[in-house]
Amino acid sequence: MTTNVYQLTAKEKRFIGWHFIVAVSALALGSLFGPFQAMEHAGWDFYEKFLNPIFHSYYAGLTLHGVLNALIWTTFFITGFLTFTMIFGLKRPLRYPKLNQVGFWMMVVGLVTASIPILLNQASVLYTFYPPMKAHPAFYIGVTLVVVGSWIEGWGFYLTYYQWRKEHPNTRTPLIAFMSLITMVMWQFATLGAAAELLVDLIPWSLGLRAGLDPQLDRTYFWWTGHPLVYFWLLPAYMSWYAFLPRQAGGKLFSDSLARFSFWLFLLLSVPVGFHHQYVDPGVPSGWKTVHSLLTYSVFFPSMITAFTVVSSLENAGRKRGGKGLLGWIAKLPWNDPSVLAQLLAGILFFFGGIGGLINASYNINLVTHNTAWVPGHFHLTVATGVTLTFMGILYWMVPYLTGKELWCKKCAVIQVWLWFIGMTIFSNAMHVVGLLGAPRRTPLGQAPYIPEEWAGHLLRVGIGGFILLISVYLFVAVVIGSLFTKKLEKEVEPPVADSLLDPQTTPRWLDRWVPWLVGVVILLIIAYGPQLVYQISTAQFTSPGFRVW
Amino acid sequence: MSNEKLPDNGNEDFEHPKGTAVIMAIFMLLIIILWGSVYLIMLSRGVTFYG
Repeated sequence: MTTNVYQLTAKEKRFIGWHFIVAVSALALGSLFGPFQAMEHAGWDFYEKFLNPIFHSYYAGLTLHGVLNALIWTTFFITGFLTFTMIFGLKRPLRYPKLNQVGFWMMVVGLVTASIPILLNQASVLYTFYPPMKAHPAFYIGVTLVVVGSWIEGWGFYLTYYQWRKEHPNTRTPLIAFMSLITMVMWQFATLGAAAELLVDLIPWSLGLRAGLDPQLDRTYFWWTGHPLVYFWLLPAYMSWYAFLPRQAGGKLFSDSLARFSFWLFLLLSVPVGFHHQYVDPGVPSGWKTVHSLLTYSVFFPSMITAFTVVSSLENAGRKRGGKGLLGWIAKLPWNDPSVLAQLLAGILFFFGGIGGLINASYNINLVTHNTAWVPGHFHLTVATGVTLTFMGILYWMVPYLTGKELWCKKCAVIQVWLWFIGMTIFSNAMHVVGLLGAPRRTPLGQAPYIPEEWAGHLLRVGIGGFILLISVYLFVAVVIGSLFTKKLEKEVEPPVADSLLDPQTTPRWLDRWVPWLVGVVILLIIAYGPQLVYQISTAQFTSPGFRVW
Repeated sequence: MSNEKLPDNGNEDFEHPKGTAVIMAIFMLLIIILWGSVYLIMLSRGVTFYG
């Protein structure tokens, strides 16, 4: 272990902690509505019985769930976590901390601005906010502020890195800082689509400055952002699996070079894949859908590098702990550590999320799953488990690190993680199966008159899974809040950043150069999106008025 | 721990990740089985011919 560790100041820890407070608050409120939808599917309609007139519709709850959990919990957690990994990785303070503070508070203002119309049922357009459904302008403005605030925090990271690089011209960028930067750069390329949609179309349209929109063009803008948004969620989780989990498990990172190479590939390949969400859109030619389909499959390559490297690192840890045989090392991993357990179980369910993703990305069989309950079943394995359960696991060591206090009720944390795993397995499996049977997504199935008998058992499982998840998420919130009131730790928590088996300084230089990769990203984006965007913009029919369908 | 530190000069901790290879193989098999099962569902719903 090195003694050359930068100690974050109390002010820096507080700043990071504020991100997590907002993130966990969003998770707590948003997660109330997810299980309500699951239970509605099983025939237990809490909206009708208890929530009227505060929440007027299923769709207000669904929007709140999607926005708070998929956008707010993730974005605030990630910007907070990346602030930590940048400072701790580079062993220096942020170059312009006030800039990052501006970004953070802009995100908070955006969150409040977007939340008010959602709570007033003026923006029940779901988190994908597809036009021609039209929300109150405050919703679009709020979302824009959250995105721009996250950009500003990213600019703060770039300036910090620039300063560090000047001081360390020949040193490989520390892995966690490197991964943080790639996450943020990818996010900024990714959100160009949403920025165009919000600034050029949705905000002026919702304010009455534009008469109509072309929904097809806006769907293309949205999915420019929508798919890489998944990688904005995933890359920090991958960072934890690569750079923290091996040490937490008692081992080392199997390969620093492979870790870096996979992140470059994620940067390159995450964005130009959006048309695979638009396979049934009539306005996108089949040829371009095929191109994006192939590019989506290419993301499988860095995903498999990640799976191999992370599992190898865990094998290294398990063997160091005395594991024998081909798979005996698995039992030797520290399954009783809630932080490790959360990440291991997140990874196991994420394997299945990856398989579902390959099925969704297939141009032909996507037609079986498209717009069915399969899709939320899938992304509850990815964002709601691979990502969220990992983030929970990270908080199980970061809260004591930031507060200097013990984790409250470690056993409760272990139970919470298992409950999440069990609840999500039941919920997600049922959603996949009922989706294959034809159940539509984004639908209050409890009110639908067309439910065939064969769906009933699966919908019941959806409700049971949702109920278990509800218990789990509030147990998580209880552990986090309880940890603010425990006794002081005698020894400060040391962030568990893993060493790699080989010295990172021996990692090839080309894996630490930005320009070729950034040029590659721009070229690939121009090839994958350029011709279609030119065509769609030049032939757009800005004639669609707004609709309020809730 | 720092990434700038020189943790190991060689590969003293290295052991070929045979267990990982087994897990990856099982994963690939699962992909084939699950992808194939959805493919069969698609085929079972009938084929549309154009022309």
